[in-house]
Amino acid sequence: MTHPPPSAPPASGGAAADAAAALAQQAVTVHGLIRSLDEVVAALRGTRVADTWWGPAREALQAALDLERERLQREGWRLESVEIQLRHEQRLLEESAPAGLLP
Amino acid sequence: MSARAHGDAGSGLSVGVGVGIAIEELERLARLAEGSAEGAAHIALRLPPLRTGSSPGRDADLWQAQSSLQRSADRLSDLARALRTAAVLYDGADREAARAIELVASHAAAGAGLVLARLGLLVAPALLTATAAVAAGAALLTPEARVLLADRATVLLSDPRVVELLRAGLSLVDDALLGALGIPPAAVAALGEGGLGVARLDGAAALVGIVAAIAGARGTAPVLIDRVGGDRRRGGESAPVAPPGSLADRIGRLPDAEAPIVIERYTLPDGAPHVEVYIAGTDAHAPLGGEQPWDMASNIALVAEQEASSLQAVRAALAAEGVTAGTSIVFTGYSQGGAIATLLAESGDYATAGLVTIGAPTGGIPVTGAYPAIVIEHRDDLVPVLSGLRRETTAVIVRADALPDAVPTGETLPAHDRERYRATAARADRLDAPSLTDALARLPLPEGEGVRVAYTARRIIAD
Repeated sequence: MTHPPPSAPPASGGAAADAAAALAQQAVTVHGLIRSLDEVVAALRGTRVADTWWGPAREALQAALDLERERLQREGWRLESVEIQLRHEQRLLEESAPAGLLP
Repeated sequence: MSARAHGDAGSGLSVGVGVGIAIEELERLARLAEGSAEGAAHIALRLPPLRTGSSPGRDADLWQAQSSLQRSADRLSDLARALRTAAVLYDGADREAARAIELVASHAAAGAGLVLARLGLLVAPALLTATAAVAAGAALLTPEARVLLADRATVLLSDPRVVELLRAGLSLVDDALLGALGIPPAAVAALGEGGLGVARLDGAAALVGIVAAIAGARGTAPVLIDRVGGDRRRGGESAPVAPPGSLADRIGRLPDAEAPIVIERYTLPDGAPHVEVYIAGTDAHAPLGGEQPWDMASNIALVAEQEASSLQAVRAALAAEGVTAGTSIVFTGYSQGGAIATLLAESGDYATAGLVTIGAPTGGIPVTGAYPAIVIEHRDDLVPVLSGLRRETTAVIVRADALPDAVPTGETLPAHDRERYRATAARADRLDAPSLTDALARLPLPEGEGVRVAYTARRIIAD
C-alpha cells in the first residue's frame, strides 16, 4: 500500500473551518495508523518458515501467519477508505466556509 | 534431528543450540507473532477517539477495523504462546524420540550383526569371489567409465538423506559388533547408546584403531614439530597479523596440511595474553601411518578419543609457544583439525575461550564447556557423520546445504570443500540468529596486532 502524505491542517476561523481542521487532524492520525499497519503487514510478509523441517506443522504455521497478514491488510484498506472520507469531508467544509476564514 | 533457518531459508542455512535446534526458529517466529500482535493492538487502541459521531458510516468502519485488529492481535498473541509451548515440548520430544529410535535401531543392528556373524563363515568365500569380480570388472573399465562411476558415487554420497542415514548407521556400529560377538540383541540395546550408554562409537573406533595399529597405521605414534622457517636460533618465521574479524575470516586463516598448525599470539585489553590456534584438515594424499600425522590413522585415533599423532603435534606447538593452562585460547579447526580442536578445548588442560569447527567428525565428542562454541556442518558432507549422531553439546550448530542445486562432477567430497565452508561461514556472519550472534560476541576481542607463526609436523617411525 502506498499513501500520499497528508496536507497540514488549515488554520481555522469559524465553525466550518474548525471542523475542517479537526477532520484534517483525524486524517493525519489515520494516515499514521495506516503506515504502522503497513509495517506490521510487511513484517509478516517477510516471514518464511524454513523449508527443511516440520512438514505439515510448518505449512499450518505459514498458513496462519499468511491469514493474519491478509486480515490486517484488509483493515489497512478499510482505514484508507476512512482517510479518503475524512479528506473528502474536509474539502467540502473548506469549500463551504467563507473565503476569508480559510487560508 | 531438526533444523531451522534464520532469514536465509532459501539457502537452507539453519542455526540452533545442541540437539533441539528447531527451538530458535520457534522462538523467532514467536517473537514475530508477538511483535505483530502488539502492533495491531496498539493501532486498535488508537481508533476509538476517532469515532466522533459526526458520520455513522465512518464510525461503523472504525468500529469494525478496531474489532478486527483486536481479534488479529489476540490470535497472534495466542500463536506466539503456542509457539513457545511447542518449543518446550519439541525440545523434550526430540530427545525422547531420538532415544526411542536409537533403542529400536540398536536392537535391529545387533540382530543383524548376530545373523551376519553366523552366516559369515558360509558367505565369506562367495564374498571374496564377488569382491575379486568387482575389482576385476573395475580394472576392465575405461578411464571415462571409471570417472562416470566415481561421479555417480559422489552424487549419491552428497545427498543429505543418504548422509543422515549413514550418520545413524555409524552410530550403530558398536551394536552390530556386540551382536556379532553373540550378545543377545535385547542386551545390546540395553547396553548401547539408547540404553545405558556403555557401548559407544568410540568403542568401535578403538577396535578399528587396534586393527589399524596391527596393520602398521601408527595413529598414536609420537611426532616432531618444527616452526616454519625452521632456524631455531632466529625462532623461525613470524608475521604481524590483525585479530580475526568474522567467522569467514577465521575459516580463511585455516592452514593446509603441509604446515597444519597456525598460532596467533595477541594481547587482551586487560593485558593478558591470548592465543588463536588454527588446525588443518586431513591430508587426503598422506599414506596411512606414514610421516604425515594429518592422515587417516590419526583420524581413527581421534574418533576413538585417543592421543592421535596430530593431536600431540598441536599440544607440542602450543607448549613451544608458551601456552599454559592459564592462557586464554580459541581453537579453530577444519575436519580432523576440528576434532583435535574439540578434544583440546574439552580436555581441561587449557583456558578455552572459544571453539569453532567446520566439517569435523565431532558428533561423539561432548562439548560441555562454558566457552562459546560454533559448529558448522554441511548437510551433504559425509565427514561430520563419521562420528555418528551428535551427543551432548552446548555448541551453536550452523547447518547448511553446500550443494543446493547440483553436485559438481570430478570432485571428491565436494560438500567437504574448505572454500565452500568459508562461503557458508560468510552467510552465517550475515545471519541474525541470537544464539550465533551471542556466541560470536562472547569470543575474546584482542587489542592491536598479533604475531602469527606456523608449524610443520612429522610422525616418528620407529622401524
